[in-house]
Amino acid sequence: MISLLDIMNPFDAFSFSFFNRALLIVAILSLVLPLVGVRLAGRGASMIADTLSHTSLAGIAIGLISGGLPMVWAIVFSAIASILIEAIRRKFPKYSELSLTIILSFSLGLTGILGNFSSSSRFESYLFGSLFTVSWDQVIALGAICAAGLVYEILFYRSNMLLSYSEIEAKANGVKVVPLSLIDTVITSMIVAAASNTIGSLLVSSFISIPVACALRGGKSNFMTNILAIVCSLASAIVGLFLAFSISLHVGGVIVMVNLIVLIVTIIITGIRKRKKPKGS
Amino acid sequence: MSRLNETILSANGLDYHYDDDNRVFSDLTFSVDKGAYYILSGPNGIGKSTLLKLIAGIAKPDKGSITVSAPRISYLSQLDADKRSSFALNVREIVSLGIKNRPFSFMKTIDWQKVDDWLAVFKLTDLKYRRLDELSGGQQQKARLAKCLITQPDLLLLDEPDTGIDESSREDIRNILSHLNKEHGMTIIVVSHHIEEYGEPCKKMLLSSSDLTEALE
Repeated sequence: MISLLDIMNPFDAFSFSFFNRALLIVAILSLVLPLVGVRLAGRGASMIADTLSHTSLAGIAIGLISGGLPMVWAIVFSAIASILIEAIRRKFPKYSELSLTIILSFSLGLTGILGNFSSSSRFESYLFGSLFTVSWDQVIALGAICAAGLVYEILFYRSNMLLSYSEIEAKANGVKVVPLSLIDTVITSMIVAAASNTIGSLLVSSFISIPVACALRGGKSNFMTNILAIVCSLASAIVGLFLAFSISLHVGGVIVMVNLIVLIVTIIITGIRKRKKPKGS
Repeated sequence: MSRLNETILSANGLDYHYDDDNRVFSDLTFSVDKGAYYILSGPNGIGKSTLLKLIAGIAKPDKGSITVSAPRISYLSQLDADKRSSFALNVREIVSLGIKNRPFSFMKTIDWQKVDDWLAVFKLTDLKYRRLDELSGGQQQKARLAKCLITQPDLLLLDEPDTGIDESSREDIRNILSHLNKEHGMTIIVVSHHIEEYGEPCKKMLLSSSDLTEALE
């Protein structure tokens, strides 16, 4: 087991290829997941990420039982679930959060049943992730999906900003709201499912939401909020990765805790700055 | 209500209902002249907002047709119509969103000077880097209106632009609308609960279940 005593210099970690792969994974995810988070939060739909990450578990369970690739099954299953979520949301626009509960219940029920047929240790690694055991194939697959996600976020940045401002005015301004929302949910499902495969289904939504919460405290524009969320996510991920490596703790969990500490510090600092500001300025 | 002037909008036999028991209007026929400035009133639930949505092309009538001959139409929804949080958008970003959106439009350089000019018209220059959620209701509404006007539309459709804001902001908005109508010939249709505050040059119109007529003072 690697311990703090074994590593005199933190940069020694770079000599381990598994560490470099993990670093690459968190760098890719820190670039893309906060963008997804800002987009979803802007539309009041942060819980979609949570639902989709749990949905991917059912796909992973199918993959493990069938002997196929869990990541592929997770993506396919989440994509189908995302289309259903969007369809139910459109059917019950006033109770749109119902669609999340319905899909979440179905997915967890199915995962519970399928979980009986797969090895519990392998299945557990998908719940909380195992960043230090990812293969180059996983890095490449995640990189390709996140690259597609990044292209989408950039190409449709203005459309999505308009959609987060007002769906009705977006329609009036020529945005094809229904197809865009569908593409939006499918892209989100693919990114979330691929990320679940590496950092764990139960931790994905924290990677998406916590940096956004930090960025919101200081972001003075939508653009700046995106940038701050990426910076916050990347900094927490790198610190968390080194920390977890040094003291042999679970990587995903440590990164989430570092993220939360950053959030608490941000809340305290911005709170003090607000108090110091004279009234009316 | 049509004159011999050029018509910018004509509606023929419009039918619209939310569900089987909730018909808002039927066989509604009217036309609007270019350069007209109308304040739309009528009982609650008669379909004033729906009519604006039909004109804007956001909703489709059950029957009938609407012909709009305006190359540029701008539509302002009710303040909390779709309960979006507006999130972290600042005033400048909101106004820039009015520029016609096309796929891949991130590549198109936004004319920020034009954005700033419109912010100056609404006296929002000092607030341009503030987030929308940091502004008062009146300031928010002015920013939203600037977003609608940045394309200098031929037809401006405003759904309750003066609801929930103070009297001085309402007056500012009315003055700007009057100026745009008089000096630039912009056709404006406003749904408002403050119909008594509007004077010349606008005309007060009354929407009933089958007609749109000039309201009697």
